[in-house]
Amino acid sequence: MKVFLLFFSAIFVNNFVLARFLGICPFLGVSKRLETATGMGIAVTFVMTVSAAISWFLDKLLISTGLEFLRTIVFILVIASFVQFVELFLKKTSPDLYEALGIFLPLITTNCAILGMVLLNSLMKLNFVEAVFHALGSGLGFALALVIFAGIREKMDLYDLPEPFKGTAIALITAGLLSLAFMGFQGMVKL
Amino acid sequence: MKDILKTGLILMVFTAISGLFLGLVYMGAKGKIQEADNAAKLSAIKFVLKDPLTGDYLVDEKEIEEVVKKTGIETVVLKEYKEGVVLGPLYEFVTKDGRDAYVLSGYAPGFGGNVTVVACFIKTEDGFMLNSVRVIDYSQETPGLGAKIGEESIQRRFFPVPPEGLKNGLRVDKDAGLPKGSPEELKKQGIVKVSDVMTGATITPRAVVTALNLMYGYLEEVSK
Amino acid sequence: MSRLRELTKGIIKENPTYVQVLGMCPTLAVTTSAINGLGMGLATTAVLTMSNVVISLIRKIVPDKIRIPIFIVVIASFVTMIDLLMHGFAYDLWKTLGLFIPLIVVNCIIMGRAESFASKHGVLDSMLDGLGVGLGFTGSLVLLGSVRELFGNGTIFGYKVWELKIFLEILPPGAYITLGLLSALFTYIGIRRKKRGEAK
Repeated sequence: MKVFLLFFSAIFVNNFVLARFLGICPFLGVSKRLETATGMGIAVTFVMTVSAAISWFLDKLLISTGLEFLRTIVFILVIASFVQFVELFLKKTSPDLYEALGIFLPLITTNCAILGMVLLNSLMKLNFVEAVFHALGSGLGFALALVIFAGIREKMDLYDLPEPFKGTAIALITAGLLSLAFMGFQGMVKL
Repeated sequence: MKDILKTGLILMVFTAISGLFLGLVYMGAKGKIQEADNAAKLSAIKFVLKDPLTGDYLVDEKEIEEVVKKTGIETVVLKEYKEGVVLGPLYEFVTKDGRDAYVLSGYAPGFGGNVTVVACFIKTEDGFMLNSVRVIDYSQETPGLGAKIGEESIQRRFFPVPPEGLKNGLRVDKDAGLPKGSPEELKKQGIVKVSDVMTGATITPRAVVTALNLMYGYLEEVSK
Repeated sequence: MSRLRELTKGIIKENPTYVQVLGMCPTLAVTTSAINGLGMGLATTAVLTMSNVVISLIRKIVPDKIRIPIFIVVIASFVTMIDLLMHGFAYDLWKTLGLFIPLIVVNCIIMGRAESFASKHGVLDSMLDGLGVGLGFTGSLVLLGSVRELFGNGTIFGYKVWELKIFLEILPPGAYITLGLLSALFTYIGIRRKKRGEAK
């Protein structure tokens, strides 16, 4: 039951971008077009879930050997290596997909959402199944926020705005309004 | 192939150097970190041993430090329940006016993680009363909402509670049907009024109340 | 002259937060008050400066192919070090900043400066670059934190200023909207400066 609640709340209530402030760089940078946003969303969800699984085991190992202070380094290396691996794998097996996602993959490494997710799993002391579903939910939440935002921004490009607001400023304000909307989900889930 | 091995090796060397460097920093800082953690715990224990109305220490500060030193400051798990965990050590004090005071901690799941509280219960003729509470960990709660539980004024809603209030279990006012009355009146019935200061954030205060109930239950058990 | 410019460019012209839109995650998350913004800014500046120096030192012996992972290891080490030191010596701030201290690792500003500057310049220049951009970042955080604290809590650095308390400021939407408005302000200043420059 907790797993389901964790999963559900990660998408809406504790949305990574709109509530937890994780993953904002790609959120602002990649959400200009719907296709790129969707691609990034899927890629992030995938990397997040698998990284969460791998790091769960490593975290247990670190704790049992008393080397917790190496957590950050280990996690970030896992993420970086995994992303590298995925990149190489895609290049060989599916060149088209690689082309489509190409530039985003290296960007995912420095995505604070992935590292944040893995650290959160460790902090919340989740068991394996909980950790994986938490990651899956958070990734989907990120993707959801990204896609909604891209849809809005595509339309916004057609509007006439005062000069100082164009680009970043209006994007941030829109994100704020979107975040406000998502706040309506607060309290929906009793963990 | 050889190329990959070479790059892998270089990466490992750098990582090893960093690991060693960090190991040194860790060894150097470990003592200070332990000190800081203990100081935080001690300050929470001292806080809950203050009279909530006057702000005076119910037990002499020096004595508090001695008891804590004697009993130990390492957190131990006293009992695990379905709704949360009661932590120790269970500190026993005698107040300046001769009453038995007990300090222990516990946590229950909140919004994003566990909410940890330290509380002081005092034995009276009618049973235990809740003297004071300190919420010490709420790092996963939403800033501005659940995290408001960190504010002194809000924590004050949780104490003191007389024995009659504790007997049937503490509840947040939302779970008691939002009764009317001042926070002071409701405390006597074991109802914590937070709906007016923590709108939209019931889960966090509920976690505090759950932890307190578990701690109270544990105390009742071991004092029989 | 040029050395001074290295130091100050990070404050307005190449301001990481409002102009380059980098390092957003901590910016929005920890600026619920001025002092939090200051703490995070200084911690990040420390990491940025130290990693810039080390990366500049090793720039000639790092093979190009794996430079990114190695930079990451260097940055992560300094972040962990700052985390440990803050835990021991600045407990309250450490507890408040919480999860976002290890997240300094993925702050795009640090990786960005390492890649674009420190790996191509000498140690002293890299150090000044790190300090300058870091201070610019700190300034941005303090600015945003102050505005949010002022309008959200009526205080600044803990000192009460007025009775106004717009709850929304402290919450996520407030962060985004305030940052958006400040960003528009900076863009406006930039446009005015450019116009004045062209008029000359």
